[in-house]
Amino acid sequence: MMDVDALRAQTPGCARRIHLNNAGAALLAQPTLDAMTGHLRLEAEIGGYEAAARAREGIAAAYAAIAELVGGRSREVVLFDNATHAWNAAFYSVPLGRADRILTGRAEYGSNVLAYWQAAQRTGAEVAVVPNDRHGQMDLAALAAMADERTRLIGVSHVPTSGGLVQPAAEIGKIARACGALFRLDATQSAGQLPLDVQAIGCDMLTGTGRKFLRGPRGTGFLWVRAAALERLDPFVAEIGSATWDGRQGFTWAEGARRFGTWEHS
Amino acid sequence: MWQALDLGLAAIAQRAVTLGDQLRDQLSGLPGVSTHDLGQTRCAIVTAKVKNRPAEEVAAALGRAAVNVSTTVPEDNPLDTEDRGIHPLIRFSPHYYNTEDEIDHAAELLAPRPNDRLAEFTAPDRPCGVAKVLPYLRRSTLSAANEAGP
Repeated sequence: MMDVDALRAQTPGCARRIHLNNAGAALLAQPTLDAMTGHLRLEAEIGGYEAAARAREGIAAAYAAIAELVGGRSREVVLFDNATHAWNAAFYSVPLGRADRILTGRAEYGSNVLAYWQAAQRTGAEVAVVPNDRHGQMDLAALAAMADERTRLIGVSHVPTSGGLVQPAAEIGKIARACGALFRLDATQSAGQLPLDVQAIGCDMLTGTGRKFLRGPRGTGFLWVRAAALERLDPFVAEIGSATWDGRQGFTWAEGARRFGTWEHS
Repeated sequence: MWQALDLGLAAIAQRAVTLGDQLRDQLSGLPGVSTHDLGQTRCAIVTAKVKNRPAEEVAAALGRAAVNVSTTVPEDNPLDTEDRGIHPLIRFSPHYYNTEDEIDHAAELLAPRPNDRLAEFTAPDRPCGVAKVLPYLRRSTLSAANEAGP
């Protein structure tokens, strides 16, 4: 049983506001606030790199915690400065060509939709929008009919920013597996609110943010990429955090999902 | 993050979604208030509209009453906007640390006042139509209307 009074006592904002905007940004808990301000203070006192060195274990633990949150492994996780950058790193790493199709839903987030249009313009890939069923969620029969061998990616916002809908992610995952498409789930609004299990959902990429239902600070996001999907993705930025120079004119990608990240991070 | 793992996502979801359901039920039971969440499975996000009142105005009034909410944005939901043309909506999103009393209070703020039955018969663009929303909104809007008067 959850001790709501104790949790509220640990949340300074509860004394001042009725906070019903957790889909925007949740209230920070005192331990989170202490960790953040403590680290800022440490940076001011001993220097940013030096503070990062001292926080190394805690940072490594964050990868493990996200892995636990989604039901994946630490090496499949990479941290970002926000969920949009995490999403971009995943999406723009999907190789697309004229013969390819992206499928998405009517409840897709605006930035994702714009990225699909841009990818279509750049690569000639086709974007097709799956209709809703009579309940207003993605029509699974329509998706199954549209998902074919041309479908390279199925991109879905798990919980849209526009309302209380939860898309049937695991059912979408089954259809994605059946047609061989990559399945990318935007869990920005569901991470920290609903249980996530990438094995049950069957997604290949999942992105989330810290600031919403996870109650983390603004300026944090993450990407999980299934290890088995790595070879089907072409990370969109090669830099010293994501790749290593081979001494000639080539490079090797970093281990696991780190190949999608950047060396500089918050 | 660690807090979420300690509490367990099943317990978090159970409580947050229950609070969302409570709020959705209460709001949809209020005259002049409608809720607009889609799908068979719902979560803690609740979207609503108050008849004849812009969502931003209601959200701002709730904010003045120390109730934090936001509004949905048409550009954030382009395809859904094409389908429903309904945004902006008032977006409530409780979490596990909210209480049932807070949900009651927030819903109560959107309830029509008992002495405002006449508002039902008021043309939508008349300032006194605002009387349906919130007592403090009514005061501020009526005083604004008075200032704009003769």
